[in-house]
Amino acid sequence: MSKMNIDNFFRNNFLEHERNMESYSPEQWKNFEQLLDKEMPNKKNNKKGFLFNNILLFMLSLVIIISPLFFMHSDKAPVVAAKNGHNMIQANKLSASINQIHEIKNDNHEITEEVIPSENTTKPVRSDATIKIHINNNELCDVIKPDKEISSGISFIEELENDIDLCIPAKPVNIKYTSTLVVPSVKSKNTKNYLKQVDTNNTKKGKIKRSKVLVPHFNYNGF
Amino acid sequence: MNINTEIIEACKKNERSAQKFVYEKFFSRFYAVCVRYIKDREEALEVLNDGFINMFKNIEQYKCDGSFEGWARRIIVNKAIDYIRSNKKYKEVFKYIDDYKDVPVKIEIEEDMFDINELYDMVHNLPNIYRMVFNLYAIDGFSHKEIAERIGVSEGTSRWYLSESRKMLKEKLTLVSIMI
Repeated sequence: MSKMNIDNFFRNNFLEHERNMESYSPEQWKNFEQLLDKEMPNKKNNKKGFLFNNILLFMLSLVIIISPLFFMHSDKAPVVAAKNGHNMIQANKLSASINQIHEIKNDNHEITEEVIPSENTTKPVRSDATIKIHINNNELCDVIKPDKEISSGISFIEELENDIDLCIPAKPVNIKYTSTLVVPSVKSKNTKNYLKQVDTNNTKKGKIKRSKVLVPHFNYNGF
Repeated sequence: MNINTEIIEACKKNERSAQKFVYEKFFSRFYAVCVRYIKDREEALEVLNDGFINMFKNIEQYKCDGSFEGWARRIIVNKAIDYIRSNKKYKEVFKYIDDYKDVPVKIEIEEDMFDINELYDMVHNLPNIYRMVFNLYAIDGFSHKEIAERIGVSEGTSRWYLSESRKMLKEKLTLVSIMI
């Protein structure tokens, strides 16, 4: 037993213990890293945050770019949204004209101009046909499935007219629409004739040309 | 335990891999330092992590002209002192003594006679201010002047607390050695 300075006694013991102590576990670093990310964020290391920020930035840019499209015609054109069936067409802006372009797909059958809904059309549109509605400047709305066979182009137009009538309140609306026929898998001599998009300006009531599929444009004066 | 300038420079650039290296290297050692000041292990860990954050934030101030461990240890100790002083749980009223000369206390003892946990217990059972002053002076090598500045008392007060804590520890050591 030797006489020792009490300070040295404790210092020696504690420092030796500090040197030999093993209390570290990888979990400690994980917890500390989270703290470090909060206190000293590092873009390079903070991949999640970095990714999140970039996605946020991208979404924001997208909104900024796209938003004018929504408001461009808002003063004159109704926004039309359609879901499963004609009567889902909705409009929230009135007293404006709509140019609706319909795409009709009727994949498994040879298509002739008669199946295109028009005033001259007498043959039915199949119930499984897919009709896409566009509003001004080809803005695409949801796909319409007729659900039931449309007996003729005339009735189609009438039904559409009635459906829009149901959805648009109050003010008269001038509705114009033309259609585009897309026949992806039809092998027919006439197929190529239907693959051309309608020139809206040349739309002529009741006429169907072989090179251009024209659906009548009509005025809808509402109620 | 060499921390070279490359690692220091990487830490200055806030590179996680370098920070992780430093953290892993010093965790156990500095955790023991915190436990010496703060008995509660969770609180000690919290103080340790805050100390490491402080260290990484201020690493620009380290000029590589002295031991990195010494520099870092000071930051950890300061953090522990700040924690004790700011925490109500540890609040005690200081006794202000203008002038006091501390006298080294000696004891007849075998160095490996005690279990380290017993020694930790003895220090932990000192009243907060006594423990703080004893740790700062006897173990971490602060001068009375530095302690006085750090905890806002006179050097005489620091000396008095040190002397009293030595006496208390001597009593405890004697008591336990008799029991052994």
